[in-house]
Amino acid sequence: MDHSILKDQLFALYDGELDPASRRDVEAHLAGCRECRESYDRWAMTAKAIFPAPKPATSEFFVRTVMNRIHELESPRPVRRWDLSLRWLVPAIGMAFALFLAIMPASQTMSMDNFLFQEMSGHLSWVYSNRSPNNDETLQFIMGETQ
Amino acid sequence: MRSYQGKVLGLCTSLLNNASEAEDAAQEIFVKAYQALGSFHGDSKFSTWLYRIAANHCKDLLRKRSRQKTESLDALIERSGDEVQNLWEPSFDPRNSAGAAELVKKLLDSLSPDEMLILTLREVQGLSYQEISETLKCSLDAVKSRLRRARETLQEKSRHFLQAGTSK
Ligand SMILES: [Zn+2]
Repeated sequence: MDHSILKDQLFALYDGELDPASRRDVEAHLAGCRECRESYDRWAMTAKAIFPAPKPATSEFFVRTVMNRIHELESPRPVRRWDLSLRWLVPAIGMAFALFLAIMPASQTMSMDNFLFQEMSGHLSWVYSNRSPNNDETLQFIMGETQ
Repeated sequence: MRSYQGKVLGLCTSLLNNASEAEDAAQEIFVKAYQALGSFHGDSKFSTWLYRIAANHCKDLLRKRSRQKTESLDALIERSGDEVQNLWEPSFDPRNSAGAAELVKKLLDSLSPDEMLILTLREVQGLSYQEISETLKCSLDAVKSRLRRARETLQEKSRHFLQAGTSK
């Protein structure tokens, strides 16, 4: 095997990007080639030293809440392609945002940013989820209500 | 971390390596995304579109930062000797050592914004080649070659690091 091409393959193996047949070939080569094994291990060590697993996020609770809502919104229903008639929702998001800012109590303990992002994520995923909202959802959305 | 907020904040934190800068950046990115909503046509996933905005924004910040670099790698190695060695111990976790964390930060700072970005998307954010190609708007082959180059650069710099550390 050509070692220059193999270098790409080794990285692809490390990244889990090889199809099963190529993976078997590369693994078979690795088993018999010390140079490639060392090269593979060298990268694995470097990556581990430089890119440790990310620290847990500080706003785990919000993330969970957002995800729950997104899952609710994305539960299987008749799917329709995002169409132009939904474009009015773009200014609507602005209205909802403005309303949101206006009614947000000052004593809110969570950070405003987190809350806005949470709102935004939830609504956007819904707006772009390839289906039309029903009237209740639209109303809730415009009112800036959380579900 | 699967929410947009978490993804964007995670990307900013990894790229900028500074919590308050990352939060500011994430904020900016969401405002930008909101302002650019009209240009999202659904031809990519929303998360990819958002990631692209985030990636470009952070890359700009990294570029600005690289124009005002301060301490050189060598000066830092000189200062933090033993930490460099520890970095390559299998059981070592750089998060538990302030000195090593700073070394890693410097090492990453010495990469170009493009190298830093593609490595972060892959190594920290765990994006697939396909997702990276959509985020960076380039071909799969370009992803592979850029990623390989960035990794080789990083390995070369790490080696320089390690040698300088052990020869002390
Ligand atoms: Zn080999």
